[in-house]
Amino acid sequence: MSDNGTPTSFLDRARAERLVTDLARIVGPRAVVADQERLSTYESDGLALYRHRPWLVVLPRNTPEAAAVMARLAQDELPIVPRGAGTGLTGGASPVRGGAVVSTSRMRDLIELDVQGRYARVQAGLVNADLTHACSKHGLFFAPDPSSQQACTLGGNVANNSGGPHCFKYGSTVRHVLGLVAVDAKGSVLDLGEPRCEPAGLDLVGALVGSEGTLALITEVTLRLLPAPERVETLLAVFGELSEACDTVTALIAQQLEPSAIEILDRLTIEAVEASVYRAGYPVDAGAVLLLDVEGTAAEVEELIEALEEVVRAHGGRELTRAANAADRGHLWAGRKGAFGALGRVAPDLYVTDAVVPRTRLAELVAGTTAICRELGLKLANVFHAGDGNLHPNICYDGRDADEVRRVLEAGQRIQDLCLAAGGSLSGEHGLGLEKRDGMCALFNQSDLDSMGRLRTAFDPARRMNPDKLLPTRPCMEVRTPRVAVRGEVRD
Amino acid sequence: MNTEAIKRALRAVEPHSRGEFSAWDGGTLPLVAPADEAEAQAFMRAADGLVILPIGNGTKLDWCALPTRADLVFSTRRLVGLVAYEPAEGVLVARAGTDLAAIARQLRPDHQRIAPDVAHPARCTIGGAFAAAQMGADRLRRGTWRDAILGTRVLEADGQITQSGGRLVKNVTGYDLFRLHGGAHGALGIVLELSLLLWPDPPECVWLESDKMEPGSALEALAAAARAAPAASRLALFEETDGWRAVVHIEGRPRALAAARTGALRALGTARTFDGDEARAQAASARDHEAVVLPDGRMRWPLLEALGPPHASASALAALRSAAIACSIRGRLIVDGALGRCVFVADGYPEPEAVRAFARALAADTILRDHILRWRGAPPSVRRELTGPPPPGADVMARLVAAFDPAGRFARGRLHPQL
Repeated sequence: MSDNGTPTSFLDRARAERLVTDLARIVGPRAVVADQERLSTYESDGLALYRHRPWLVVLPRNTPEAAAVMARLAQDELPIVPRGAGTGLTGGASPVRGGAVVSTSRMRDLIELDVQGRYARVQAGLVNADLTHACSKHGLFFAPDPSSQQACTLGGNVANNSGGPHCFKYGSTVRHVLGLVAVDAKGSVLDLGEPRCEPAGLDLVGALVGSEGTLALITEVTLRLLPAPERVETLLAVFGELSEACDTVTALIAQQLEPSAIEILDRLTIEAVEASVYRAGYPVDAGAVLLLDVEGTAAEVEELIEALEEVVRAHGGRELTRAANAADRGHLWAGRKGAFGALGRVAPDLYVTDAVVPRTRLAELVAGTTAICRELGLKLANVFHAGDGNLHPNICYDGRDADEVRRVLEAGQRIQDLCLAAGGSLSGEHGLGLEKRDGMCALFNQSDLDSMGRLRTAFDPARRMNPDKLLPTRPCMEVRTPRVAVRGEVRD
Repeated sequence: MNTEAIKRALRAVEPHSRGEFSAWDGGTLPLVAPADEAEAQAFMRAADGLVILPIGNGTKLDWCALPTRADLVFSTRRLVGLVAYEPAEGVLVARAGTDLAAIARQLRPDHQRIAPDVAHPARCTIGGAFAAAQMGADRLRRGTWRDAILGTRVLEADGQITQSGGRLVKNVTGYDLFRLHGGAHGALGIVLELSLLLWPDPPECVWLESDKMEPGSALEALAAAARAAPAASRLALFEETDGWRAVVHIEGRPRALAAARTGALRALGTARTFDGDEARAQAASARDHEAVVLPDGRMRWPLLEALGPPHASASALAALRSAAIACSIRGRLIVDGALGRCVFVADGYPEPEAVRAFARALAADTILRDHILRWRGAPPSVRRELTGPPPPGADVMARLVAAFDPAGRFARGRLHPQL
């Protein structure tokens, strides 16, 4: 074991070796990672701007193993960072204080699929898309569908209350969680896994969803499945200007039309997608496209499409086409879901921001984010969940250029400020993690945060679970104070 | 009881914010109903050392165990009105004491509605219905309070007002403390204001009511109707004196509704059909069926709720029926089959001894043993006996209660005698 960054740097060598031996006894030697090369894989999640190497990584196979691991880690009071597939975008799985990463990536069982009761009980490491694949032959599906659904785990979705395009109709992950099993920092198992239609006592499940691994390690989840709709139609509306697409969305919502997904892709995104393997047939001369799914019975779908056509036309939509068949639908959605990957063609790095704003102010705020990036000389690609007001201004940059990185971070901060000033919020689906932790002081006062801290302390008094995430580590008074406060006169 | 301390606390609010509350034991408790947040905070500061029982209109006090101690009652019923409402955003912010019927009236011109659609909306405050996690008749289509709530402002035990969540339809910023207050019966704080997701009010609706059938046939008909109308708002069975009726409530746009209606009618066989306002009236009447309004205006819920897996509904209703017969308790059953919810509504208040016998019979039943049994309105003298074992996670809940209310300022024992 080396001297830098591995357990010997916080425990004496003998204790560190004892810890690794004990953990290997619980999960098997291959499921404990302690060598530097392999540990580097766990330095960050999808936000590579923050890199911290853990001291060790443990991969339990099930809840009893996870409980034993957590109990053993508690003996040495190690910080613990839960990790699913590491697809998060806010540094939530970055082991900022070192410590142990407990990964759910070996916990991939579909424990139970109750077709009649329409629920599935899964281990936390099961990949989102694998669940829908497993239940599709029974005419069921799991609604939350983040863009990373081919890789992200359901435990990670629950921990972040993840969204996705179809959350416009079906709601974020919290609306689909019937129960869960979690292990706290001391190794105690909290079994709330029964698929009850109402919580008994306090809604602990509701509190754990979206807690970003700061309260407990989620090991199993009971999820609601929905009957696959009789019919699904995918529509592509083409606009000359991005603002027209935004105004169309605002009008759709005001008229209470309910497609199941409303997504906007702007020109730069379209160009990137069309030049990539995700090529979907989007018109490259468009200012923006609106991708819509309409689901329901045949009668419902036709009725809604007629109403949608009118709104699209009234707001400058130059074309509204319907996917001809399932393969065509698949292509249109592959383009949308592959957009983040496709943007790799524009620049080597991508800064994906996530903010949510009032849906009546979409056009104005998208224009504002564009202006900020233009002023800072940055390439901005917009692809977002317009129906929920969930913006994803994606800044394409080169991480090797220090000045560009500085401008990216400045743009991120200014976009956040813009959205908050308009009544928006810090995150619609990615969570806060490390990146937006201090932004909480812009949205809440110290009393609010103290109250949230009480929840955290009740679950984890020593605050070893995913430390330094989600809540500011300094008082808001300090966070809000500018680093440089010029009090006197400045003379050139 | 510290009479002087109570007098001091009452002096902190205006005279017209004071009143009396008829308690479960036949006695009375002093009540305060502050008119605004400042008065509520002043009261909390002045009531230091006293135990406060938070209520809305007090219509669901029967829903939980009796408090171990309560010196004063705090009602939110004068904290009324909409704080923010933007129809095009689909979000509403209301003060906790606003009654649900008043909110519905404000939303109707914009073809919006809130969910859950709870019983007797004119008598229930929105804060009370949320704090009691009252289920709505439209649960199947629109979900629970956990699905509807977007944020809260809460008066905490230390007198601070805190907020969590926000006013946006999608938001994952910070801990969702607001969800913990749903069903907490005020154990963690007093909800002063709530942000809620709004739903479109469908332009048309239909209520279908089957002929009377045997329970097995009625359940089969209901399952077939569920397949024909997957977006139905309610699918339920109601027991009547000589049979069971399956009912289906469908809402939607005209053509979609027509297609679902045809399928559901085929599933039910012959059925009475109600459209438009008649359908809404039938749905409301069925929704309100579970509560009794007493001549003095108070509400009682003489019922037992059994929650279990949907596929066990047939066995659960048979077990409930036979236990009721064995204990000579008269009443009717309602089954929300797809939700796994069976409700026994007693004809008036059964005698305490009969309730004890009923509880013993249910505990001994192999099917119902795995169900959550919730007594909504048992006689006060037996209520504490009926609380059952602590819920899963009771130790975490106890830590949460201690963290949010370390001095025990809010009445304890309501969620469970051990909490």
